[in-house]
Amino acid sequence: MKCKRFEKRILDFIDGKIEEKEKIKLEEHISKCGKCKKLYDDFLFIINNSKKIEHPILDENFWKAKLNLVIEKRRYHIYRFKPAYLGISFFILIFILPLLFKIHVIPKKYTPIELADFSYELLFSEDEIVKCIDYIDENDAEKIIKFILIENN
Amino acid sequence: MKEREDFKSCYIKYANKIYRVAYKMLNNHEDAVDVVQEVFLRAYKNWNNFKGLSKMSTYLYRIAVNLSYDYFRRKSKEKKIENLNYENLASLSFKNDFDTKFRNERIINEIKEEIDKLTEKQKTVFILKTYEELTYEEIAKILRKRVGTIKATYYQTLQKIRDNLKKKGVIKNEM
Repeated sequence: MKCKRFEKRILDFIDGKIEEKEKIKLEEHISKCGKCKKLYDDFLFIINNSKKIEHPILDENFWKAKLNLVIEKRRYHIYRFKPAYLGISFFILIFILPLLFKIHVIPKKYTPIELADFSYELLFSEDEIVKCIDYIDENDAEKIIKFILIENN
Repeated sequence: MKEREDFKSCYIKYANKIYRVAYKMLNNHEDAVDVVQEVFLRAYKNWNNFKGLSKMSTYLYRIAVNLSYDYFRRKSKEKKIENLNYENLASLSFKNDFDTKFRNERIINEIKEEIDKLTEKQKTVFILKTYEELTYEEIAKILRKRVGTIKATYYQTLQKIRDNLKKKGVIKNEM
């Protein structure tokens, strides 16, 4: 076996995830090759000593307390204000409300005859009629004014 | 209700594992706990979407690794990388017994120092392989890389640590 082959298989050899036949060959190789034996020993040294690096061990009670915080936080996330809500509110304000508003504020359109009658019967003042005229065609408005003038005279 | 119960059992099962990875990545207890909380909050949000898609631990490790990267980068930017605060951990027990700790103190500290010098990718692979003892296939799934790439990274990482330890005289040079 060549050293290159050993280097390729060294990680699986360390893990012990290697076929028995190949394992024997690798063991034979390191018994003869000092360089590969050193590489194997050094890798094992690093791995084994790395595992000795300390880390805190936290018991189950610690995590149980933390678990409740996650559940609480999740609840908060569900009900908290989200930017999407703001967008929807703006949409309603800008597009939906004006539509509703228009439906209610646009006065009923009267026919020229009706307007003339109102004027004649003095039901509406001239100003009110002029306001109504704003909502009808120019031609119709002229006709109405003429009609009102004739009637008043 | 079942969803919450499933989540609770998952949390209890994996919290310590995720904490260990985050702690090794960040070397900071508080940050590691924050990472665990964030990992599980994200997992809980996507609980229904997640089921059956992939192995739970793979999914959790993946979020943990990415969040640890974020924390590490943020801390690096702030230049406030803190060392382990032993005072805060006074109540916590440690893995090793007193004697072993002092006998190998120098070697372990040197190795720890070398691990901290690794790139993010090397460090992640090293931690998942050495401490978590995951298979190369599992690590490949977590990091979405090929198995060959993970193996090569692990080999290079061990070589890098070895070379640096040789320079420091912790490992003897070849005769």
